[in-house]
Amino acid sequence: MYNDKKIKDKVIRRVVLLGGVQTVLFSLIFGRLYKLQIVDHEKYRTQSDKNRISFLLHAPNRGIISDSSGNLLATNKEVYSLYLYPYLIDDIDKTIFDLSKIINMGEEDKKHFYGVLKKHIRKDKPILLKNFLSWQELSTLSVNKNNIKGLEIKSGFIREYNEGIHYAHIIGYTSKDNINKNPVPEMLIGKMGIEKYYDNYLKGIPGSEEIEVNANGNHVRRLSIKESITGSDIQLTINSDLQRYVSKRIDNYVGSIVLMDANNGNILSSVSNPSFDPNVFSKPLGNKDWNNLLNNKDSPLINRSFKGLYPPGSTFKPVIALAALKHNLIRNDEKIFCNGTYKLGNRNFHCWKKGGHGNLNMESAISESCDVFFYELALRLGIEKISNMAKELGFGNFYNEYFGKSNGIIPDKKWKKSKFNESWQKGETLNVGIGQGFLLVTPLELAVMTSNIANMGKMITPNIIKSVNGQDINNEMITSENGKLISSHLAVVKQGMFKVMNNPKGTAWKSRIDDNEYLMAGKTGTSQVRIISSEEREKGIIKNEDLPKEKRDHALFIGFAPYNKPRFVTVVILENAGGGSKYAAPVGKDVLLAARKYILGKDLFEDKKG
Amino acid sequence: MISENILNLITLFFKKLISVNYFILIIISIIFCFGVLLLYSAAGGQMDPWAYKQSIRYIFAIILFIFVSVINIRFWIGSAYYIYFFSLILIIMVAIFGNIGMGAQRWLSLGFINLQPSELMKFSLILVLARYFHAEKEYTVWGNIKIFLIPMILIFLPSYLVFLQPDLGSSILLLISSLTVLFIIGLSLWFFVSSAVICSIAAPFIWMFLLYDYQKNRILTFLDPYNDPLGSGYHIIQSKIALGSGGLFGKGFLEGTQSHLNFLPEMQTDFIFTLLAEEFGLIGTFVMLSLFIILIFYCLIIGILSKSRFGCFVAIGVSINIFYYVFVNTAMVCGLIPVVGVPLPFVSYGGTSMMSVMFGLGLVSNIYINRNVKIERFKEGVFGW
Repeated sequence: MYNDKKIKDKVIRRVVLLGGVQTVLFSLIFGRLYKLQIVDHEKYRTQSDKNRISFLLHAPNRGIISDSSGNLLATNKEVYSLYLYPYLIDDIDKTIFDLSKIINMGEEDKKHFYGVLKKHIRKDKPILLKNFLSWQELSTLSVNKNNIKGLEIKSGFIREYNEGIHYAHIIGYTSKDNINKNPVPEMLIGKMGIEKYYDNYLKGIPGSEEIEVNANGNHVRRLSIKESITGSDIQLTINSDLQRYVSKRIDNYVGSIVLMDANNGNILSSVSNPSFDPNVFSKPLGNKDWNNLLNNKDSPLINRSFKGLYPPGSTFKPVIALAALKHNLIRNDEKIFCNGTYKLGNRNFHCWKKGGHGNLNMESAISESCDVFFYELALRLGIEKISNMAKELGFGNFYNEYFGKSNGIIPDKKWKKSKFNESWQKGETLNVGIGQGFLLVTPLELAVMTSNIANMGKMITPNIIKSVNGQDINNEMITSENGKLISSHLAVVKQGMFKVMNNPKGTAWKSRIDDNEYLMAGKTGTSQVRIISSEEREKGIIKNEDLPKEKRDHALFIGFAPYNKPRFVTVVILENAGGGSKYAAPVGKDVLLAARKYILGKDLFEDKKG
Repeated sequence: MISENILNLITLFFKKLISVNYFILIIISIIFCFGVLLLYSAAGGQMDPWAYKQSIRYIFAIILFIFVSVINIRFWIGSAYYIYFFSLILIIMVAIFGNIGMGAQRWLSLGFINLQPSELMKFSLILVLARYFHAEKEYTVWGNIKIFLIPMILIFLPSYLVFLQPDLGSSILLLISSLTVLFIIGLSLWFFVSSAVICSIAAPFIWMFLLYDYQKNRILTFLDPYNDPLGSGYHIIQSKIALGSGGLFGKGFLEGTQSHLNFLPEMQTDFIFTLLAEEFGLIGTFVMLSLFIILIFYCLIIGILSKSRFGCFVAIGVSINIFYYVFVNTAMVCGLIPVVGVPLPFVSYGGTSMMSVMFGLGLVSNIYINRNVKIERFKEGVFGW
């Protein structure tokens, strides 16, 4: 024996030391496990769930838009798109070659696809190759799906507009949201018209799905699902027969026609020409198409009915008449002499009738549209009283987001001061008196004014929604507050407007309706877009037909029928068409007759066009 | 008579078989059963590809255990150097022929089995150190560095070769476990103190000149895994999430989402402990670690009880090695130390670590059988027998 005993003691001492160190180290491990598994358990469980659960949002179906009798105007169409999973592809060239036999693609496309696939070859997220597969492509692809690796066909919805070109301005269009980060990228966003302003009703609520995914992002199983909720359907007050008729009746004129129910402000038809096909926005829009729409000098994207600004011309005369009556600045039987010219200072203001109208009372002045008579009234009134009356009749009102705030101008002293920092001139009042000058109004405003007159002062609000999800929207008339409009005054103006149509001297005598059941009243307007020099007046005013198109007058007409129990109100504005009585009044008549035919079902309709 | 001899041999064999340490066998079998369950779960509830193969290996491992147990202890003393040099040659061969894995040459493909010689070297070193000090006559003066010169060479040579592979983790483990054995044997504490001082001075130079970028990355990632959450930090982050989300009772057998949904790739090998933690919670990890602790301390006690120096050193050496396996593996998985490729014995999928640890435990069992045998000190010198 050497010193084994001593060594052994030493070894035992060191083993005990070692055991102590090991115990400490294992305690560290246990402590760590306790910290991770008990103390921080919640935190790590959340992280683990975040790892494995991914949320998918499903786009809901968009609400459908229909006309007043339920004809579908905007619907959803299922479309199919071709996707490829790059990481499943063995040979890009072969895949593209196989695909080129099935789907229609040019050399350019092939090169593009090749580049895209090459770039993302390791990705396990699908890449879009082609949108809007045709039925033939779809069926061939479905058959060959197993022969080409990595194929995936996904379905989605686009908006489809029936007779889109007739409703483009009313309904608008949708597109996918590219700018904002929408959590559901497939969801369509309304960009104009009903689609835009009633988007909250139409869009519905996205459904959500919880999916368990693995580390590669592949789906393992579904944990939960919440179905999407389809958007509300919207029914418009528009009558599609009328809308179709009016769209045709406006022909090639640039302009607008509005047809409104005078009893409740429901818009039965609203056409703005030129129009566009909203279906082009459902598919990716090429820059060229977009620029064509934007750069067209007739601005097809603008809804002229609600946003177009026009000098109202003589259609504004009822406003002057009502203001003068209200302020007792003319007696009922008072006559004013018109010799064709009105002198203010050293300036001459002309009547459209060169020789003058002679002695006229209010009714005749309206029916013959005497300018001198209204110069005189405007001067008696002053601009403030005119603009107040205009506002009472509904000009410049804000109805709702859909119709928006009118950008029209009802000028007054304050307006001119802030706009030009100049004081108001009397001559400007005269211009406003015949609906010219600074005055700018929209067709919708004229329709509201006409309705308010036709209704004997009951105020309407324009409305285009008949029902939301089957629930009717009631658009009630509001009786004029404080009785601002006095029936006897309105009766005078209405009588004048009746004579416009039904008196041989009236400006629209030729467009009258010879039916005692459906007598029509109206007012023509011809608004100048150029200044007529005094020399031209001497030589004789050049006829509209002889002028270049853009210098011709705008033809306007406002009217309502039947006269005894007003129901339909129409506003016709034809840009650069010429005189209102010659061009706009016949259109107005046809539109009112069409309303009678399609709404009242009485077909005594002589279609001069047809 | 020949038949009588044979009969005697058989009787002897059975006598030996009965005397084998079954306590060790039972403990590791329980651990192994856990391991197979986890491998079954890791494969998504299937025996293939891991659980079945691992079970077959385990049968061979038991045979190895019994075989190593029943052989005359003098054979192991006598062949210690041969085994050591055999392992050393294998390490050199890895450097020449080894398969490339993880940017390092660690494996030696023998056709049917992929051998990792650094694993083999761990137990060879124990044997050779025990053998050396068993025979050392002058082994009386504590703290005499001269006696420790040859053992140091025996330790540092393979460690350096493994480091060159390059396998920093295995190299450090080899070094540390062998030095711990030397500490038990009686190397002066001054050695450890001065080594620590030298290491801390040398550390910056090692960092700058000796470490590969991926090794530096691992250490940096360990210090702040969220710095690079998708790159080298990914494993540690996901591993902690798996552990933490398991909670007290775990998500249940086959219900571990982190592992089954592939957030922890390759967890059947070094990161299998996370699967245990995720599916069986703190209770599972506690039971598993306790079993290992029992095994480790049991081996230490066998070492102390052994009457021979050789037996004492070998048993303690094996215990120390198993301790490092378990500690480094679990500490790495919980993010206490950087990620080094160390398996959890009998639990991680893989043959080499199972076989080499089983070999070591066979030696312990052998020492247990021969605990009362006093072994003479033989001749002098390194190769003296």
